[in-house]
Amino acid sequence: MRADTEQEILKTELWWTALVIAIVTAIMLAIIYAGVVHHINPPSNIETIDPKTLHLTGEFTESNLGTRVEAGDQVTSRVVATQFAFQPQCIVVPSNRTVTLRFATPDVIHGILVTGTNVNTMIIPGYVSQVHTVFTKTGDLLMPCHEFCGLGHSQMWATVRVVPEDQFRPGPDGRASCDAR
Amino acid sequence: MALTPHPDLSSQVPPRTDDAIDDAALERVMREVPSGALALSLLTVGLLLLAWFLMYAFVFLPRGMVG
Repeated sequence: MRADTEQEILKTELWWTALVIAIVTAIMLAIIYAGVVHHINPPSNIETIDPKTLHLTGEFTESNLGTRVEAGDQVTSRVVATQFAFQPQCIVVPSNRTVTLRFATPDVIHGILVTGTNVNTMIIPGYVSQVHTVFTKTGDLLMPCHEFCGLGHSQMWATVRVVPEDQFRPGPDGRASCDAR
Repeated sequence: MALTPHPDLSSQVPPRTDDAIDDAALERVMREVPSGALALSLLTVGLLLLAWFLMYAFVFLPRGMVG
């Protein structure tokens, strides 16, 4: 091969390398922009819990599941993911308010997403998964398990009922459920 | 079972031709190939990047905060 042809090929390869570096940089900047300006970050809560006793003591006992307005007007929903159901199967949350979703599982790895939102997390035995978000649209949103967890995986889904803030009326104990509506 | 003898591959090798002609053809091709590869790469990567940014701008960002 002639030297000038070889030089041309080398020039093209260097040009392409520079372009790829520019593309990766642009994507990284877009991700940083989404995180810093729009507060869109991957859930990064690290909190352990004993999967063998989570239903017996602590915040994931049956009576404490669902949505609750806590100190500082903080809306928190607690859900247990088991093979092959969510407990409770429906949670009600207000729109345009910061909501904290907390999940735990006593059995295998599950995962959730809430359709039409950026809520998406894994639920791993031994850990509490936590997601903060603001639901801007009202209505019933599907929340399926998105991590294959066994033969009944396709039957495992729940509903997130987003209601206008003025229609979100928790009881005297601060609890709100889909049944009460 | 009797084994069939391996064919003599040397009989299938084309006879040597004049290298000067082949080199000239190679040079011509090597001048064209990078341009074509570059055009194809730009098109495919450009479309992929466009799809990524459209999803980012019109689906991901409007869905709002999460963390």
